[in-house]
Amino acid sequence: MKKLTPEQEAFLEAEGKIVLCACPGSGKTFIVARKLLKYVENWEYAHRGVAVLSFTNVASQEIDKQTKELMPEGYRIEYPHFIGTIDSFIDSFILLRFGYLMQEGSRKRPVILHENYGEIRFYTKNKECHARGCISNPFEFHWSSDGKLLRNGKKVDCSITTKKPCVAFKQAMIKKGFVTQNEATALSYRLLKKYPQIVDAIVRRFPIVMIDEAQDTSKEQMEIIDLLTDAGVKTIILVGDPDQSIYEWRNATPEFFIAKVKDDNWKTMWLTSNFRSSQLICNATQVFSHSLASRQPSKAEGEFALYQQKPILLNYSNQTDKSDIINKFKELCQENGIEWTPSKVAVLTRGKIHKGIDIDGLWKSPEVESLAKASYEWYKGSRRKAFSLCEKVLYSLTIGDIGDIKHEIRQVIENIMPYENWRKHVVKLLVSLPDPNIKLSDWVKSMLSTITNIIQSAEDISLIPAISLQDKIKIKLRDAKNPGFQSIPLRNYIEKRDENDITLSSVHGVKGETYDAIMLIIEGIKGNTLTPTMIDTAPLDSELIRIAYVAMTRPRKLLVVALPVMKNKKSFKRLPLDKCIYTQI
Amino acid sequence: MYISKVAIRNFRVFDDIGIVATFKKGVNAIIGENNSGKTALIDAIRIAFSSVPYKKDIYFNKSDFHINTKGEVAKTAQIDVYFDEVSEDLFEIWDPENPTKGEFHVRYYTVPGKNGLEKIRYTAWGGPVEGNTLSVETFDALEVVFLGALRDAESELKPSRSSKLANLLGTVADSDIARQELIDILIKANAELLKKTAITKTREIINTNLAMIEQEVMQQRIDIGLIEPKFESIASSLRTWLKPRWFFIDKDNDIYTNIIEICSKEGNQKLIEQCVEGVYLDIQGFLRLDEPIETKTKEALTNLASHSLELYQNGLGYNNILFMSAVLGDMGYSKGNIVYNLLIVEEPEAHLHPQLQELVHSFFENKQQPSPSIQVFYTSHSPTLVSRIGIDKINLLFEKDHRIQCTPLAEANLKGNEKEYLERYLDVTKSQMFFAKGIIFVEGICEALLLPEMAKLLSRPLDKYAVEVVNVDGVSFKPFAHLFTKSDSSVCAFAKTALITDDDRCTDKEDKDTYISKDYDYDTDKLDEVIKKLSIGKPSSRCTEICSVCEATHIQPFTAKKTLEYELALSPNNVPFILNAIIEAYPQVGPKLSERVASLNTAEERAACIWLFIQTRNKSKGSFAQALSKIIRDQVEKLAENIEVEKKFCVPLYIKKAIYAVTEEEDSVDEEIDT
Repeated sequence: MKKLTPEQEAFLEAEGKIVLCACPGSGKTFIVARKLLKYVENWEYAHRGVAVLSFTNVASQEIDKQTKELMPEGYRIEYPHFIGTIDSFIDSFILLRFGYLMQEGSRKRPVILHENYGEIRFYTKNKECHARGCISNPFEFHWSSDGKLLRNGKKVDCSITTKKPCVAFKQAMIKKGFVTQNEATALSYRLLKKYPQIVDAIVRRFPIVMIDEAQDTSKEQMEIIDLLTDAGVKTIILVGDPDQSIYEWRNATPEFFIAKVKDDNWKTMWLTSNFRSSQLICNATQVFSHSLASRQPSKAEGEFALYQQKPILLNYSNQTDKSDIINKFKELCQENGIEWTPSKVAVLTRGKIHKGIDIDGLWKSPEVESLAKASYEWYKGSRRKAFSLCEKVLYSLTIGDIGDIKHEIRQVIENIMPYENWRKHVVKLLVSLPDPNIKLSDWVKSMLSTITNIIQSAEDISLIPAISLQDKIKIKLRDAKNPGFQSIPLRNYIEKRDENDITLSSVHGVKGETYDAIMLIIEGIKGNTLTPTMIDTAPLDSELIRIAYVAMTRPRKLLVVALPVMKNKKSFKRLPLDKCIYTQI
Repeated sequence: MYISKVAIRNFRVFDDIGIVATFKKGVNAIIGENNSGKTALIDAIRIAFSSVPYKKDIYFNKSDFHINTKGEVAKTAQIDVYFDEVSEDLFEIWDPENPTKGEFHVRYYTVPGKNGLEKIRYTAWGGPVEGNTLSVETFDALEVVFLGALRDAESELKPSRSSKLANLLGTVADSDIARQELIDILIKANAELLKKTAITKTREIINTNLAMIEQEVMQQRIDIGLIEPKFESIASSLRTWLKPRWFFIDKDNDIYTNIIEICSKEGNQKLIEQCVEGVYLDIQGFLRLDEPIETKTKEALTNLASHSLELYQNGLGYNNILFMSAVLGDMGYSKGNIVYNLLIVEEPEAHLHPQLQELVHSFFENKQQPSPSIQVFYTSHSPTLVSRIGIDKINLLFEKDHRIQCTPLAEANLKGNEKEYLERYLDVTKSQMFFAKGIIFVEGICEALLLPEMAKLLSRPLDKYAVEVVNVDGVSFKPFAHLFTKSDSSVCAFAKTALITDDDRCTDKEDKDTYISKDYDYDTDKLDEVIKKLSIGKPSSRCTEICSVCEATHIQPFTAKKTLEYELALSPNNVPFILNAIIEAYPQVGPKLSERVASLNTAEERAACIWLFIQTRNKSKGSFAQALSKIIRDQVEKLAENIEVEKKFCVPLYIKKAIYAVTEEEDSVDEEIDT
């Protein structure tokens, strides 16, 4: 087995309240897996276990994979232990299991809504609610952990002071058992506050909790972690890197993690060796790290520690086409003997990889949005996801509200017809989904005729009478800012990542990943985004710098930062000539 | 941790309303007449605990859905299991609002399948609301072992991988070292065996033949030995047998003298039982003696003692006990993942004589005490077992109003120390009432003896109607009445029930107008006064109190004017029978009573006279009743053979009504007039 650094050894032995600051490439997933395994090997409880929580499914699958590799063939981490996302942990051990306690009268297991299939209908005659767009966006409302109702994270700011219709509506939703994912954590926290015996039961069930990517922990999540800690969890470990706090779905702030680093009740440990990048990359990127600011650059200890290629600063002019930049990058890769494949090479941008697709209210129904995703998943992604999306759409068009489903779709369907028969319909829809490469307007036309056909030709299902397919399979018709948006291929609206030649992705999409070569393209010139100026001047603890830092710490051998040429910007304080090579096209 | 409650709906005999059975820690009994749903209750529990894909010890069948009286088949069946003192390890069934409690539920339902055939599906959930799924591990933590009525303890104990002995050995030898020790012995034994030519020859013959068949294709060879030297093989080949205790030693046997010599010593006599041809010897006891036994004797006896009985040579009863010992032995060991053990035994009394039944019951009780996670449920028809178990540990199943119902006696409205009181008083005989369709409570030996005979006379033989006569003589009747009401004061009527009692009028000393002095005997000259007082007297306060107790229940009270004897004697037909019985019981004074009675003119006078006679001689009422019951029996027999009887014995009206009430009603009862 791989020899451990003293820092890693120390972490393996540590118990209690631990914060582990893990620099990029420090092998944190590996060491978390090792620590988990150390517990599991000597575990003596049958019904109590270790919980290892991450933020994304990808990250928790990675831990699962790494532990599996460390274990004998055929073994994996199972009950009583838990590896999963923090959301799934909170949902399955708190909110879904005990959420009925929030209800009155006939209680049921809550349903967490991920997309609105029409279960949430906010009615009120109040004109202000209509004027402010609250009525049409009920999903934007969510409860906070102190019991207030927020809209998109902010106080609901309107002139109605008593009995706000939105508050009454959301209270009714809770009683009916409908909860949205963005309030699941806050509601779970309130549940735990009201029923401390549940906190005790969870602490008993999981005396050891490890949280990976803890720099992304939200306020509510940290509040729950604090409750577990106070209830006497034996060991709780927060693993993270405040410099890598970027989170796609909300405003990320590492402040809750940093608070723990500063808290004397918590023991802070470090992993500073870098097993990924060359020493030259480590040296160049150290300046972007807020937490390493007063420290030495990470010591490169990996296979390519001594690789002698300085990071390259590539200036491009506003006439340069993106393909030219990528071709230049390809040449650089060839010079370094790096294979031009999606697993070795990635080109990163700050935002989405496709442009001009931010159309407000593009999809006119959750059904059409789901079908769009299904088309993409069926041809480009996961066929299982495509099946589940199509099943939901077909269900809501022919059987009823998803919201009326008590448990599983399957159970309800089986009461109506043999499941095999139902599956045939879903499969028929799947195989006739239009190609996601055709332009959006054509896709919608084709989709409408396809689904009309399928429902009409089926003998044992029929459209719910109140539903019009024309109204459901419908998109926005005009957008002032993006007149040509209907001619963009459907694919561009869904795709977050392209892996045809090489990997094209947003920075967020490659968190935790490793490539031989990385090119970060900085596209902005002015404003509060990644621009050449911001690279040099933005505060180290700002999200923009963290995004740049995450991107620049991905490569093993070659780092390229492509920047638009600026008249008055010839050199960069943070990417100085002694650490980088300046070049241009 | 223990099951506190099980609710079942739409399963087999249980209808839409269903039943709720409650249980206590330790040993619980489920009783009821045949076909009252005992097996259904037990199977429901077993099915609930098998609601995991791989843990199928019993399946839910389509025919398990309840069919109601209209012939409609239920669409869903549900079983709810509730626990108390729930293990903190069972997060999935825990109820945070009642932190010591937990529950899980299983619902079976049908869905349309291919070709119009319906398929059975189920959903199981933990905690009070539907949808919280249960993991396999939660079910693994709950161990249920079942010993059925048509059980085959012999095959359960036979060597096999899943035999109860294999389980127990696996639990006891839970370390690698302990297991290796056993394996080593076997390896050694196998090696020893292989040294013998007979074995090696056998092996060679097979290997040669194998080689010929395979023609060098597979190059497989076999080895031969007792069993494979693996722990699983040892466990699965483990067998048990009984050591007989007594062995016969013939007088001609050369060790005979030595045995007699040793056993004739002080304290050793109980080891032998002599007979004409020789002696029965307790070999094990003998060999344990601290005496100089001759080597020859020792060897011969050791040899003899190694003969033992195979299971199939055992009686069924003993094999059942062996099975239960093995299972409870295994359950007594704490195993990391198992937090609750349930042993379900159908009719543990089968093949066991009553004393052994009592011992089995005590064994159950003792076995679970050190391990509070063991619960035992048994079904039973045995009054012996029922009389031993606490009242609150009995669930009574019965059919009433065309529904199968369940009454946990724990819910009976027993007050204060009535429970202890009843438990002391519920002997084997009285426990019979729980298996009856009808019960008549009586308050004296006379009623108890005469009632069955009178019932025959009315063509209502009590045994045919499954009616039990329960004599609560000398005890308060109240606790029994409370058994028939629930604490929520609803009525529980598991059987038709009647009470026969004397109204004991004219016993209130305060009421000078009606009080009849206890000093009067049959020869009193105050008969006129007695008759007058009897006609205006009011039922005693004891009697009215009993009747008011009955009001809250469905028990129908039937009272005798004054006493049974008085009522009997009121019938002119009966007087000669009574006098004969009295003469038999009191040969001295009896004839004098006859003379006196003969001199009286009215029925009332004669009845009063006879009553006074018996009241004064209350202590030997039993022998009178015995004599009279014999007389009635003779008449019943004669009638059965169609032999004419001169005078028919008349059953008093209140008794007739009581018997009809617990057997079947007859419209004309009320109209019949006693002559």
